[in-house]
Amino acid sequence: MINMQQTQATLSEKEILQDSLLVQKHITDSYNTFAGECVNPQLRTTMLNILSDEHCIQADIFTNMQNHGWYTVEQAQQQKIQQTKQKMQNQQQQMPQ
Amino acid sequence: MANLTAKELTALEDQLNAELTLVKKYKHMASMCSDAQIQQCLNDIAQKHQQHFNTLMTFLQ
Repeated sequence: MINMQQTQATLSEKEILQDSLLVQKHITDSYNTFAGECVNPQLRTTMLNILSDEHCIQADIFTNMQNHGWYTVEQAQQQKIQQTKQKMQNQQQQMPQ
Repeated sequence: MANLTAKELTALEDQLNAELTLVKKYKHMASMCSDAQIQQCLNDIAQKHQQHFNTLMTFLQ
């Protein structure tokens, strides 16, 4: 019984990294918000530097997960990229000069 | 004393609390891992959050 409870309470390494990603997303958001509210220029610069560092940490965790095959991403189709480019070029041409 | 607005002080306190919690959390998570590479990664992250805490504290000097 004790063993079973211990098993249930243990997070896998994949789950630990997933949780880390969530935590990093959250703290990145708060630095982004606070950087915009700073009056003191040195404090704003510090908030932005830490914001950048938090993004680096998030990227490290993401890369780690990818290396273990725990986070797969789908590539966009080349055709879809071309379609989007064409659509945006058309919209830009329709703008009044 | 540092020249801060009330909002900046609140932000600093929030972020200092968050960073301290993350130092503890990442160290704890590292201790739960058996994969040495993941363990190292999490300990490095804990160290970075400690540096953030130290940097933010300088604004309260």
